[in-house]
Amino acid sequence: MKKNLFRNILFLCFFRPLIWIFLGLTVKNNHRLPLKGPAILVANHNSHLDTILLMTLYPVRYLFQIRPVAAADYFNNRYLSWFYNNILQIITIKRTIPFKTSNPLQKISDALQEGSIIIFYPEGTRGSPEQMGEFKKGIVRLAEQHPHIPIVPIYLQGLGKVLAKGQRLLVPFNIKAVIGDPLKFEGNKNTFIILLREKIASLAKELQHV
Amino acid sequence: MYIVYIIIFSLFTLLTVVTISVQFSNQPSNSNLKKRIYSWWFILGLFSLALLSNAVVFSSFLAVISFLGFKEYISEIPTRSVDRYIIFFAYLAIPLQFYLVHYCHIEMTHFIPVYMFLFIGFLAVILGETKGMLTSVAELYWGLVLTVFCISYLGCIRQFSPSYLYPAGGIGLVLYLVMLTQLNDVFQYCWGKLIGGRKILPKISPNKTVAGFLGGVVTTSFFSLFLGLLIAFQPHQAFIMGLIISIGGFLGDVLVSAVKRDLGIKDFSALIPGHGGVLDRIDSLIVSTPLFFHYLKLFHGV
Repeated sequence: MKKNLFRNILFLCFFRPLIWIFLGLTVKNNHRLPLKGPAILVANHNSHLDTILLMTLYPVRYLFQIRPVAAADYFNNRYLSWFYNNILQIITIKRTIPFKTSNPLQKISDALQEGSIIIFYPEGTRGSPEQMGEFKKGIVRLAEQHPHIPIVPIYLQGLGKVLAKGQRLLVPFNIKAVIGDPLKFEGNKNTFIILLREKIASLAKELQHV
Repeated sequence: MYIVYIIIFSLFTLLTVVTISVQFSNQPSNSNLKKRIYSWWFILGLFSLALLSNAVVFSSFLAVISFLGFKEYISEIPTRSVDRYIIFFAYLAIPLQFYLVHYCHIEMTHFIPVYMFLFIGFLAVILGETKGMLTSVAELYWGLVLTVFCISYLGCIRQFSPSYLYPAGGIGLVLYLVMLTQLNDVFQYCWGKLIGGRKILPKISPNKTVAGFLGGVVTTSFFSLFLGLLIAFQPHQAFIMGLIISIGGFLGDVLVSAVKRDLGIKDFSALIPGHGGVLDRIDSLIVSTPLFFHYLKLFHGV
């Protein structure tokens, strides 16, 4: 209870003004955001701020359901780890375990069974600023295991300029987000990943007409 | 000073009348016109609050406006990844500029035009990336002057102390300038729609006409005459101020429009519903503010 309250206040008083006013966010198609889980939000990844941004798209009362997925490599600092685990409710996956021995995505599946809204980055890592890398297969496996859960593609623009990989200096720029129609897994593993990547790339074009 | 309150009250009354008449007309609730009017409430309210507070609050308000405007500008121009360090220091120049305006009236005129100009060049040299350097340096400096330096003159105008000629002092003068600039936009638009006719700068702004421009200049100048008599300006002064504000307002507007054309955008951002971004709203003030300030300073030794 107390963590929920702390999270809500933190987002209301700090992260929302930071992203919406200090950085300057324009969102298109906010209505397509799923307010209740289970659901998977899929976005391009260029900055540590991506997750925070996606969470600020929600009114604070819905935040408790959101579980971002991150690689376990970042959890060295004790205080930051507490913050990531308890406040941001991050699910960690180990990037180095191959699929054959055990399922590194098991924790995500469990969270989806509980009705969470998952934030997942198919690129697997932060790409070069404003460039979208290749999508890895993880999202396809998730889609395969949970074929009825909507996968919502989101395109984020500008955060790579604000705080890119390896950067420590945050420089305010206006940022944009476009939310697409949810996709459902049709059964074909190979085409799904191409479809998803194309969908997110096409969302970028929608921004030109804002 | 009471005249300032009376004028602000009249503006709110006018806005109320316009809002009620728009509510009664058959516009859908999310129409552009309604959004525009609601945004005017926010703008008028915030601006009045800042103007009627003390000088520090007003300078801070202007600094925030400049920050938002500069951010919009740099978000639309092409930037290299190495430029973020230059932009970071350019952002730091904003509070420094308004500090200088507030405390050291004279020094402010050299800070951005000379020293930020040189500093930006110096930073670019240290960063070492020469490809595209000249363009970046030029665009960033220009953006700083456009969104920060010209607006900071509003802070200078506010500092004028009340005299027999301007009993409302700097506050009255800022209100006078901003109000007439915005009214000028409206007058030029109305005359343009009413008369139509030959376009004045079709390559830059397809909606502006010669009739709109001239009609706006004349209307604003006479309105300024009337308003000026209320604030105790002499008739010829008020008329000239009206000319300066209307012509300057037009020039500022087309300047920013030309930049938008080059960048291929319609508005700099969607921050203000119905109006576009901060830069789209203050573009008329960019040229008229320094002109107004220098007219007051040179011809009236304020």
